[in-house]
Amino acid sequence: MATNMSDAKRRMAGPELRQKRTPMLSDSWLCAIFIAPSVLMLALMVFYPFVMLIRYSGLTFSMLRPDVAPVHVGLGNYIDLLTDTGVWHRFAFTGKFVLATLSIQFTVGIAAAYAFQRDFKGRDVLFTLALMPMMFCPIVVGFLWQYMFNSEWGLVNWLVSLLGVAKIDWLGQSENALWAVAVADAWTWTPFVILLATAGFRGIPKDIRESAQVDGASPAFTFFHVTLPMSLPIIVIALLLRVIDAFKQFDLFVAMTGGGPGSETETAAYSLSKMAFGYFHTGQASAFAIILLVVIFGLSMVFVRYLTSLSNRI
Amino acid sequence: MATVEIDNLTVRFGEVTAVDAFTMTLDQGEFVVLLGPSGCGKTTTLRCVAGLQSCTSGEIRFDGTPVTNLVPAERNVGMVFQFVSLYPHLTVRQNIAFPLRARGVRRAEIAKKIDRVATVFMIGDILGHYVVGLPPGARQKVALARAVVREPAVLLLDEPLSGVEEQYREEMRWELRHFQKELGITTVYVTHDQREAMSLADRVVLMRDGKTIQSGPPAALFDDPADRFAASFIGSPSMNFLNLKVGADGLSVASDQTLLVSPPQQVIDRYRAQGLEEVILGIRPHAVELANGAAVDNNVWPAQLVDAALVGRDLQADFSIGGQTIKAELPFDADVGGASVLRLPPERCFFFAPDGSRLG
Repeated sequence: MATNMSDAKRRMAGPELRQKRTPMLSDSWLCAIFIAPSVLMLALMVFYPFVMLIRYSGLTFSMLRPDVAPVHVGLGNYIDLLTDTGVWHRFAFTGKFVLATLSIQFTVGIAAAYAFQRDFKGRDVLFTLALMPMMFCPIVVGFLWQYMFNSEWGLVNWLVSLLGVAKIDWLGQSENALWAVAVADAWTWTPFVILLATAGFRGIPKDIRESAQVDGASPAFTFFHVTLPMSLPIIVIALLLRVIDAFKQFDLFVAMTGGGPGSETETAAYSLSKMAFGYFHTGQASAFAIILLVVIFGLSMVFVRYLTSLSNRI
Repeated sequence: MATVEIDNLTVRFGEVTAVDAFTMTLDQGEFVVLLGPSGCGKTTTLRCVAGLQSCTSGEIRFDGTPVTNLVPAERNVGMVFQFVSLYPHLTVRQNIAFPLRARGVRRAEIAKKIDRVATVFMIGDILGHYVVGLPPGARQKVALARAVVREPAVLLLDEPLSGVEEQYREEMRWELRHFQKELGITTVYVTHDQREAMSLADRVVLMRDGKTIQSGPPAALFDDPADRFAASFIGSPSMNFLNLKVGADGLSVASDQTLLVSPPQQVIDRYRAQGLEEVILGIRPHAVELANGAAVDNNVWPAQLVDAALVGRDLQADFSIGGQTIKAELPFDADVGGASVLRLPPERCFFFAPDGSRLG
């Protein structure tokens, strides 16, 4: 603008122009300033440790022995871990646990969400109460359920004895312990599934429900062919979050079984923490962490892919 | 396909009476349009027929069999909602198959029926598509196909074209009419759009405050409105109304005693019998004639042009007569100046009492 103006005009418009020339932050600079703190935090807390993690995973060393020089082993740590049947056992156990707890959470959660669809007296109070377990600290939940599942004086065995069945050693045997911990985990997280499934169900337009009624669909047919498939995107999100979380389950096993008997109820995450901060095999633990990351990442990708294909349609 | 009888249907929501002793009988294959302003009870009536709304009293019968206490699934009705409610997670084919699958119809049978409706609605080429992304017209056809695939006793349509763009609406109306006649299905269609009602219906039922105001073929509602509401609701642009004063020697424009009207004798008898002091004259804009040069007489009045605009091949002009505005629809080349003379042909004038009832 200014270059097109005659001198006279420029002189007249002087103060105004000078004012306009004061450095103004362009949009891109402003954006950069706003995201800088988060980028800095990420760099410090995520990128740097991640790079170090990859570096450590190629070394044999222990954080406790900085005096011992690290030895480069290349992929040695990975090969050791992947050929160790114990590691495979941990992953298999983790997988079983994830399946067990998620099947409880989603069956109960979706059924409860369906029940909460109906208008009944005290529904809102009951709904709020049903969400409470989510607000407990996991380690507290662990100790709570450890008492409940205590084979001698636990509440669960007392209930079992009422049925005339012999006492069950809930936490002393890996099969039973898996289900006991799964129940504790489900108790905490089913409310989350209820919450999201309810949101999904409520998102279905009234016209669609009425269409199904007019089309002659029974409530069960409507549930399985309309309600459930149409809330699938949100249920898959719940599933994704729960899978990731269940896969890292750690606190409940620490509190309820301590990984025992032996190391039979050690999940992958539990095992990793023992390796890293129990035995301080820092290099090997780094490799284990990377393997765990790849597994969780792969699982998540499957869900995210599915979710994308779903949301393109619905 | 069935006859539908609605007998003294009443629906109350708390203090509000949405439908008030509504009675109607549909012949087999008849296309009836429930027309009225929003809140007149037309959609509530339709929902009662579908079974989505329970009624306070009254009875609904299909082919003489009461269905009042049946849930929608037991009634065998097909319905298309205002906002096309196709199942987004299903393909067109699966959408149409839904009502059949819900009833456990065999696969081979389903395929046969889908082929048939796909041919009628000309949607054979999109059967494999998901409904998201289909143009509104196509979605509407799918919704119709789904509604009729199991040959319902009655087809219920709740403003099905309101989501379709104006330019396709006309075409859709013709197609809808064509499908309905081809399938011979008893149909109730709800709309607030009088043009839609006029072009689709075998019979229009005009409703207001939950009651029937007038019921009959579209032309009858246009040419012979039951009252002032019917006269004003039907026709576009809507009817002109002029306030007239009853004098010793006839009717005159209320604000100008020199402008006289000559009503038919029966109208005179009626307003005299009722002792009215005021009468309302109604005339459709297209009935108003320009009579420049004619002498002022009964029904022939000088008028002042207020505004004029060309609408297609018509000239729509607003005139002021004794302070009251009257709209005329004239040929596009009509010579309207600042001062004109208008003629209101007596045979095309309607007369109403101040309470809206028709005098003649």
